[in-house]
Amino acid sequence: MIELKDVHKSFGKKVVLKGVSFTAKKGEITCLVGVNGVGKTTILNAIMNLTPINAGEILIDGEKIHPALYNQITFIPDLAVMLPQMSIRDAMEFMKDFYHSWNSKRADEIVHFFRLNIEDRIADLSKGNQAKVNLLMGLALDVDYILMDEPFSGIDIFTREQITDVFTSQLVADRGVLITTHEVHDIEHLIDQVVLLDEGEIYTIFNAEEMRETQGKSVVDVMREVYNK
Amino acid sequence: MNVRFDKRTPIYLQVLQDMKRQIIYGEVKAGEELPSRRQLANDLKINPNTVQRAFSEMEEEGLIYTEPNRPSRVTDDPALLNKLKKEWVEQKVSDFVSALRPLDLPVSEIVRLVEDNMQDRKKEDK
Amino acid sequence: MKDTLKDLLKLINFELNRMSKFLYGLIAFTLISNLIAYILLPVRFMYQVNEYMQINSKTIEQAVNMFGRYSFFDITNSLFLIGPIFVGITGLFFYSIFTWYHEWFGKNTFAYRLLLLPVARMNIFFSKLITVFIGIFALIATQMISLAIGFPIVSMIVDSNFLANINLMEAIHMNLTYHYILPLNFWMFLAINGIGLILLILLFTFILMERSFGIKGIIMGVVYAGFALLVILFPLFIPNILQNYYILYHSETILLEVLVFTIVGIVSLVTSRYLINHKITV
Repeated sequence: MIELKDVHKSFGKKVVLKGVSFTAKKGEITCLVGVNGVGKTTILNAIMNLTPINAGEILIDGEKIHPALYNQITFIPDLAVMLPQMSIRDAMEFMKDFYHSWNSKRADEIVHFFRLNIEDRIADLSKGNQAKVNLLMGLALDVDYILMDEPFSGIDIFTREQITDVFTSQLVADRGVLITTHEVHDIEHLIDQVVLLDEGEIYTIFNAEEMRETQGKSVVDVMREVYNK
Repeated sequence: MNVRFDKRTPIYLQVLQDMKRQIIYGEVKAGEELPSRRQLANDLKINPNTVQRAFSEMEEEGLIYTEPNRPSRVTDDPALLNKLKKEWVEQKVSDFVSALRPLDLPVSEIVRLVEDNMQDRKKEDK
Repeated sequence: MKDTLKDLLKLINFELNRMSKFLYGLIAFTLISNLIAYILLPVRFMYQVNEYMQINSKTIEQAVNMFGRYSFFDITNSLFLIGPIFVGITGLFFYSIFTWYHEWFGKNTFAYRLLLLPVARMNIFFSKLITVFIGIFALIATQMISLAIGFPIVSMIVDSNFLANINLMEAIHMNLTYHYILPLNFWMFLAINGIGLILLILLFTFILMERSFGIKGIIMGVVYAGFALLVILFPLFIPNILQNYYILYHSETILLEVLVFTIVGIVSLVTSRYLINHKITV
């Protein structure tokens, strides 16, 4: 379980998170939604200790993050994070070198699933394939938690379909997934919990299926309420 | 398989409904093994927990049964299958009647139209 | 502990690979520039000498009186040898800054990957530090090998009548620059590299401050570095301040310097560790 307790964060005078609390459970897909600039990425960075928080606490299975935990929780950012001169093979070797949770067999499966050519240099890849390589680096780790930042932004529809497939596949089975997106429309069927952010605060947290059952509202319906309020 | 889901209705109910339809239409046979939950989630592109919920619901209704460490199977209880069919027909007829009632057509006219339509389809099938 | 060392070695290996092209470039530049000196300068000298003797019909003795004897020292003092040393030092200085900033800027943000490695983050710091030092030692070694190769070349080209009777070590010792960069005197070499190491740690701390706090970090860095330099220079000014020029023995000043450098180094390391573990931001 990833727990955020009253997390505050500002960049200079700009307050980005004003007391955010929620939990993301193992075996569930939690989706942080909200328009751009509401602090979704900051939350993921903070969980991974890639940016300090001003107040509050973040726990992963009850522990504060420390380097050894990076074998249990991984982050797939919205930008290329491997060296451009590396081939996909080099990048995989690098990961294998440093992470004992790297699963080579699964890595090969993912390469196959995404139809990547491991001899290709990262610098030469299309945006879609770069996103796939990013996913490869995260999903091939035998981790408990996967964080993904905007996995669908700026890529073509067919790549998007392939990435959506990942969520229902064995690749994320039994793991806790926390993703951010500002276009929840395509993945409404895929997510368990929705954490709706509005200007650095949590507007509401709900289970998508329960929302449909008890109120007959789609995730987008609830989001619409925030913007029309 | 690509089911279009309504985004405002619980997905598990839609899966349940579609499973009933498949059983009634004979697309899945009585006693047939069902794909795993994970597989089904992957086929339908929906959350695995939702599929799990649909399976639990179906188990509760007796539509499927699961022996330990085996894939779930569709029930082969004839009484239950008959009940399912009956419910299905009643539901569809009710929908049908609801749709036509405001038109105030005589029943004989409706019966004639239904007969014609069924005749045409039989011809098409040949 | 064993794993930490393994992680560090893996990171150093990785960093060395990334630096290799740049380092090979510096080494090649040094060797080529030196080689030009080893051949061009003595050839030119002999040409001038021969021309002088021919045109003016002078004897060797008269020519020696006129031109003096040629020695390897003349070569080591030329821009072809001093230049690459300067370029190497400047190059590695800029590389020390670049080694951090290229993780953040450019098309790919490798900082994410590095900071998310399941290794103590100070390993990243140390791997970069050690890599720069390997670069420094590689250049020093290059210079030493180059001189060893150059000496016989020069001796071969210059007519023995015009060759000063100076051996390689003497020629090197005559050049002041080499006292600072080559291991001619163990303590001197240790001191220079020790000072270099501490200053490099200070530079890294400065960079981490900037990476953690942005513009505020630069101000912090300037204040911190200024303060550190003040502390470092302080022992040298004790006699002036106290108006007592006999208060410290030379050895005591050195001891004090060692102490303050060590303190600055440790404080910088502790600060860096705190910053990279808790304050750095992607």
